[in-house]
Amino acid sequence: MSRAFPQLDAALEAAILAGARGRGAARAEAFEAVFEALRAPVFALCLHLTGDRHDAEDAVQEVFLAVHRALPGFRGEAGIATWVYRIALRAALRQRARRRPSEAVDPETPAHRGGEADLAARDEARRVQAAVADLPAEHRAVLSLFAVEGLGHRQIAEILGVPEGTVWSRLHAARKRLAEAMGR
Amino acid sequence: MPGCADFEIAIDMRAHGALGDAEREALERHLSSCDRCRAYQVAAAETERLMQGAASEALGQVDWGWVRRYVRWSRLRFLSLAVSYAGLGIAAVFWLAHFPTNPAQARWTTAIAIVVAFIYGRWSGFGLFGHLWRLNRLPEGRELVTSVREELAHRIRVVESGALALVALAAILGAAGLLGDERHRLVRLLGVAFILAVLAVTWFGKRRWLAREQAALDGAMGRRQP
Repeated sequence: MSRAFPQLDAALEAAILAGARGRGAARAEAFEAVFEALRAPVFALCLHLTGDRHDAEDAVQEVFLAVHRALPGFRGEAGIATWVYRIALRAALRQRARRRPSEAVDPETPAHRGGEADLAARDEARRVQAAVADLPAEHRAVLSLFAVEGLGHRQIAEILGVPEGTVWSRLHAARKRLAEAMGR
Repeated sequence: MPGCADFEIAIDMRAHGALGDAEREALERHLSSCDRCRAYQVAAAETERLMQGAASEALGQVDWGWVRRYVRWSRLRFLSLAVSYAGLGIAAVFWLAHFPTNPAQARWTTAIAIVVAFIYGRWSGFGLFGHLWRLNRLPEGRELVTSVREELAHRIRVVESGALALVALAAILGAAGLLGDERHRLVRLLGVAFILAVLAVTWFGKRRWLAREQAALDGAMGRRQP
């Protein structure tokens, strides 16, 4: 996933926080800046966590509604991106339960462009996504965060609220569990 | 002497730029002679590549205009909620100013007004505001996934204890309804029926919903593959 979206550096974050505490157009611009910078990685995170594009879209809507409501009062204890990812994690982890058990989850797969190799890749991506979405929340969360481009291990530890060492051991356990689930 | 598990963790750390030079060299030496760790390295890279590829493809299909509209419309819901609460307040003041002098009419209208206001306030206010409040109130200095689990368990306990309180209230009202005159009995039995209906919705709806969310956190949802 190419980083075609603006990065939230310190200067932009400060401008966003100042604008969010303003009124009218300034507040709208602040939210729009957060939305533009984070919508793609937030969607990716929600997709990995829920395993379904429609569930991921529902979760993304909730995330940005919550961000819109709370941005004016955000005190900046953590970075804006960390804060938004924490909301996304919370929203997406619980989103899956809203699907009725009888409804089959259909994870998005790469579009079929032709050829047996692409078909195999599509099926493999589907299997991986379905297997990830069925893992316990701790494993699902760490695997999904590491699959989001641009997120470093320190930021992941901050998002999860665990030490960096725990992040690595949990990632390893998650990969082992995923391999078992996929019969490898 | 580190085992394969330690080197597998080192593989993940190197892939994400968190490994020092000395550790990297040790890892390279180990990989040159360990098929299992090389297989882990390949599988880990492939998993991330597939996940990122799936996200890239799905990203192109998202209607971001709809997401923006959803946020705008939801803001209007908050405004309409505030307007409707203000309207309820004005209606209550107007009703109190023209309080029915007939005691029987007063009891019926009071009961109906309380029921309607409770249902509306509960569903509209606590539903939407409560949900966003919980999403935004993230614990500081605590593990996020654990706090989600604890919050769900707490909400299930609240629902269960609320159900017990509702059963007790229904029992008291039912017993009181069997006493007294015909008119009082009818009102109280209607109250019991309403409480039992709320209990059913809470127990079989809300509690079941929360229990399913707990199961989803444990990866125990169970799903049919497409």
